[in-house]
Amino acid sequence: MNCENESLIEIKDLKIGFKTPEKILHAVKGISLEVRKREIVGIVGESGCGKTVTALSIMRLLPDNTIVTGNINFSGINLLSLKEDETREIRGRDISMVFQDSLSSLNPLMKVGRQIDENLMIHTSLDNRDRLSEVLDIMDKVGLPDPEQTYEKYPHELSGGMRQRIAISIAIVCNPDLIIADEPTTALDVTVQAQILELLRKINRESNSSIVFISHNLGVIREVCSKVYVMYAGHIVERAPAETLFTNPGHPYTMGLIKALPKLESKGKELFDIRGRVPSIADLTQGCPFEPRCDYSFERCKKEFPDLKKIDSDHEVRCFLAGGIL
Amino acid sequence: MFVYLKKLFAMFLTVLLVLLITFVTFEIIPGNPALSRLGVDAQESQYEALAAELGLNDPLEIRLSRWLKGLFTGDLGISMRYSVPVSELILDRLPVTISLAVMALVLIVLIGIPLGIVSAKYGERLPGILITLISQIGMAIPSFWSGIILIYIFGIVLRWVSPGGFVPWSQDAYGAFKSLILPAVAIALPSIASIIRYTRNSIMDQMKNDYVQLALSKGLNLNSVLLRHVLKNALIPIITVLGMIAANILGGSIVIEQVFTLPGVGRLLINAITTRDLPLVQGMVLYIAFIIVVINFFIDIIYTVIDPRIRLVQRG
Ligand SMILES: Nc1ncnc2c1ncn2[C@@H]1O[C@H](COP(=O)(O)OP(=O)(O)O)[C@@H](O)[C@H]1O
Ligand SMILES: [Mg+2]
Repeated sequence: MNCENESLIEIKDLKIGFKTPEKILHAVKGISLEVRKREIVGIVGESGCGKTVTALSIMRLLPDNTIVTGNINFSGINLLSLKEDETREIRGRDISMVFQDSLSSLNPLMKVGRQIDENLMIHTSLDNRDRLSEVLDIMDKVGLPDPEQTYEKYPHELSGGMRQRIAISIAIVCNPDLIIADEPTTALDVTVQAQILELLRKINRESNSSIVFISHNLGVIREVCSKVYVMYAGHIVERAPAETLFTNPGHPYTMGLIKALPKLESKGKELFDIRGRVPSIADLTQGCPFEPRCDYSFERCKKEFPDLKKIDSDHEVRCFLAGGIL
Repeated sequence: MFVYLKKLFAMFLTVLLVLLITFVTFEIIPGNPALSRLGVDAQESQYEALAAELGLNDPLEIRLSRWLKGLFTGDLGISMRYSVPVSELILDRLPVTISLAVMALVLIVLIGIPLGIVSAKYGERLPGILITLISQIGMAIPSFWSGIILIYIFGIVLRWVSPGGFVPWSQDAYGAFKSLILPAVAIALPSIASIIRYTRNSIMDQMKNDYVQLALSKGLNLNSVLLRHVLKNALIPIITVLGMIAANILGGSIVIEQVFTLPGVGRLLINAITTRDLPLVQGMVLYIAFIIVVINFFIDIIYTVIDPRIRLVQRG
């Protein structure tokens, strides 16, 4: 039971900036987060908050014009200080990724079975026959019908749900310690989405993999995650167990995200939206980045950037009002 | 299949139209085959006899119907200038042209595509920029000039090959190769340059796609991602351009054949036009149309081999 609490990956003060001719634009501005072994951790926030960029920095997949500082400690090594060939050994074997759109993330011209097989080719010394049976096994495990036939299919010949199952097979075939799923169900319809969420939970239960689950949809996050980080404009603005986030949200942004969820009883009524938009990474504000959109803002929010405040043993909020009147 | 028949039909109409335009053009422009064959010093009686023999004095509708009949019976007719069947003339010139095309295409593919890949791999870094720069210069150099330079260096200074002329393959294969390699290089150079650019651009376009990130996230190195995933996806526009280049070369390289004094179809076409040899010109038009149809056919097949999604569309 001890290992349940062991840290698998710990990000400290991660900053991600893109070089432009004039200056460096920061998409992520010093975030810290931790994923423990076997845990499913959610990162939630509207589009443009820096979730994907954070995921790519863990995979070391950001383009050359990116400046990444801080520390990403993964089982004792700092991923950010690894050399190119060392990151390649970790990618796909220890950490793997599921992307949002399976149609564009799978190679359209390669049979899906071979795309799964490729991971084993890179990271194991199994021969053709063993790899094939391994791939068929995994395809069966993720619920793909008729693995032998599906192996020979091209991505466009499969449905969105089946494709995402292929993408998940690719991610889990080497039995990684960490799976980063970046909006894995966003492109799917609701029924298929539920199936994929159930599959991810099953994978987490039956293997040793931790999962970082990224979504802009708090409802989806609630279904799979035990712990959630709420991200806004490159900052972590709240961290809490998933249920706490719903019963006792600490940040006005989180409250807005909850309010924006479609509810059964409000069917037909107009959906709530947080007013305003996510600031662009070129916008520089001194105070709280959420201030312009916040219903509770006051003078101090405009000038001062709030610290992450602990309001409970496992609940932190970046807001001056947290733990008080909110 | 239906798609293909439609394409063929469109091609057939185009060729018919081109032939008709050629016919009309030859009615309008000054000069005629009898005159150009005899020269300006010829006597009136000589001219009259030849014109009658070639059927030049017949009224327009007779000549038009004769021409149409030939067209639909597959008879390309007799060259007015050389007095031999047009088909024979063209077939005679084909070995040179086809050999040149094959050699040039091999050079273009083997040099252009790898350099394009390397140039794309380095993107905006020095090797990438350097290759782009050199290929830009390559595209700007006219092939007659590079042909002359090649003759000068390898034919005159180094004496590795004899400049100009053609030795048939059946007579001396090595000699044939030696007589064709320089013109093949001269033809290939600008096309190599443009294939480098197409390959580079197509690959760099593909590199923006999500599947590249997924491939990298598996732990593949950049070279494997390029060769195993990106290249095939980038191939469609490259194949298209290669097809155009092939059609171009097979249609005859007028300038290069002139510079290297090679008996290819390019010079045949020029001769046919300057001597007002209507049957020969029309034979050439048909030949070029045939080349284009055949190349398009092969390119369509190659597309379906590369991309399973295209196969689906055509079947459906
Ligand atoms: N390669 C890049 N160059 C410049 N800006 C980028 C790049 N990638 C992402 N960004 C910017 O960083 C911000 C965060 O993007 P992203 O992580 O994709 O957001 P999310 O995944 O939360 O929707 C956005 O403002 C986006 O425009
Ligand atoms: Mg994203």
